[in-house]
Amino acid sequence: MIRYLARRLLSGLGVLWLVATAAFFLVFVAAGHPERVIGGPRATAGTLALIRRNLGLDDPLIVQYARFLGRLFEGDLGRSYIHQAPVATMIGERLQTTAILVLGASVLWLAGGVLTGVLGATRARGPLDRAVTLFVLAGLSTPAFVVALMCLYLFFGTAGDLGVHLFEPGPPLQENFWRRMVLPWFTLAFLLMAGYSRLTRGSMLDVLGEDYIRTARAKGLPERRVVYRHGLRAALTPVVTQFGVDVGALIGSAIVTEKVFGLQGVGQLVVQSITVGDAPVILGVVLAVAVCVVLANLAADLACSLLDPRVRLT
Amino acid sequence: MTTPHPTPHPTPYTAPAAGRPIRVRGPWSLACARLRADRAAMVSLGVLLLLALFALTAPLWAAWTGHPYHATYPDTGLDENGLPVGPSGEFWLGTDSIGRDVLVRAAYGARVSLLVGLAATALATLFGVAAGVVSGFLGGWADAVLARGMDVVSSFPYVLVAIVVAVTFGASVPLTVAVIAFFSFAAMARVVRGQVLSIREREYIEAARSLGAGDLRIMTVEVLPNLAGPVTVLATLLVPQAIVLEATLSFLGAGADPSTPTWGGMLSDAQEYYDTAWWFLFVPAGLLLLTTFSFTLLGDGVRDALDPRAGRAAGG
Repeated sequence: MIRYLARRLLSGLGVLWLVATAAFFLVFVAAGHPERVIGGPRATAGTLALIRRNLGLDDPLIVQYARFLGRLFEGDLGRSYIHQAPVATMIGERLQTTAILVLGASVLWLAGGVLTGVLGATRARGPLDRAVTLFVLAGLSTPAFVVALMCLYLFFGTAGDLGVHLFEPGPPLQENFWRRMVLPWFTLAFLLMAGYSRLTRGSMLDVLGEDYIRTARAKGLPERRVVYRHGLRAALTPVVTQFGVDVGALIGSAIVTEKVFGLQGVGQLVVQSITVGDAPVILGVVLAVAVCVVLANLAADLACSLLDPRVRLT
Repeated sequence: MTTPHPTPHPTPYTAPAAGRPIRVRGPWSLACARLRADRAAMVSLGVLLLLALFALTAPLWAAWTGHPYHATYPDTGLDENGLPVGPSGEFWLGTDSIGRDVLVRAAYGARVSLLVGLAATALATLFGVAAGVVSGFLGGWADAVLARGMDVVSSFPYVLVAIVVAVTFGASVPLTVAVIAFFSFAAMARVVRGQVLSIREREYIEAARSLGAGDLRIMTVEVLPNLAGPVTVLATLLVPQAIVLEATLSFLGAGADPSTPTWGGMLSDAQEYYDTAWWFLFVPAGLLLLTTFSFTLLGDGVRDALDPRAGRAAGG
């Protein structure tokens, strides 16, 4: 177990190093001229040169890269070009909004996806199953921003003022917080729910065909207990694995959701930073997301071994 | 995936019916017959052909209405408050926020969506199959490098990377195709690798090797044809995903360059007008959903047709 964890963490570090390197070259080297971003449009050539020297941009690329990695090892993500604030602090301030958005949506989508998947599997080919399938296909083919825009139209459009109470832009954790998060949560959850519903249904059908399920039924256990205690437990393994993989994709949908609903989260921060060319912030967010993905994958694999005793961690 | 592969040369035995010659039907013709019997898939195919026609005839729509896609009509296309006007004899599907013809722009937007969807999928399939076959068949260090690479690609938040790339190199359609292909290829490579790992152990591979075939010949002649089924299924399902990605990127201003009309770009403009100009929001949104939904249904049908055993019972 300890050896497994150590090996996984080491390989996770390897992935992070590759992500950091790719992001460094893409963001810092390709994006070019931070001194213009910092100095502003009216900076003189002398000022620009001074800024370049202070940032160490005149050093050879390999030196800059080594310095960047060295700072990372100390946990320093650098300072924003625009706001002069440490990147870690800036991300930390916005993290709460995004975390609330993502966590709330995760609960909704896991619960909804697994429940509809189980219903589809236990009533395979029935009318309920067909309804679930239709919902899955709709979810798989709808972009996040279209769901968000449709929500806006339904709740704020010509239909009336129904939505005014449901959603007001602004930072979270103020008054009316719960009411305000309903639409963003629903938007984010709707899309991902579809994939999970399909995954649960398929995996559930596989599991329900196994011998130990027949044994459980032969013992005379009630069907509900067979399905939820014996079946679902093993059927959840691929769902949990997928959950770990989806954390990266989730941040993409979160960016769009934050934009449409005006939530000031990490997604909005990075979009704003990209627009003005604030490279350290972009890089910081990319790395933070990559760390989340690596940890989520590890957590998912550990959870799988708890759920299904047949899964061995090697 | 545990899909049964269409074996290269099966000759299913059909009992000779009186007076009817026996026809040998290969796996592909059987799959086509199954697909033709799937009503939802056939309707989707019809819808997609109509959408393709709509995209191809975009210049004709511009000519019929007399409105080029970039032309603005501040006098007739906007009302006295400067708001878009609704569907009328002059503008069949209304105008957008600066008085351009929504119908004509939607037709040009269809071109971008279909082009990006198909081109990105083709590229992703090409590279994904190549990487998957090499990684799965050769194993060893090639597998280690490629598998690690796939991990890195899937831990990158693609929307972030796409925006960074778009800002760095300027947003454009070919760049969007490249970015989407890059992020879809890992999914294809992973599936192909898994398939190849099981195909590699089959007897016919051993037979080919004992006849003196080299790695390259086995990979191209023996392994590739047996991948056709799963690859076709996944590719059909990657197309709607690519279209969704393109629309999302264009919505964020990181897809096609802003002068090109796209559904995502139109929706981004329409965002501010959802309560005053429903047509501006609903025309691109409806077309986008129609396209992706049709592709998804068709992909579902293709999977059922190629894989009748797993089909509806297990996959949904």
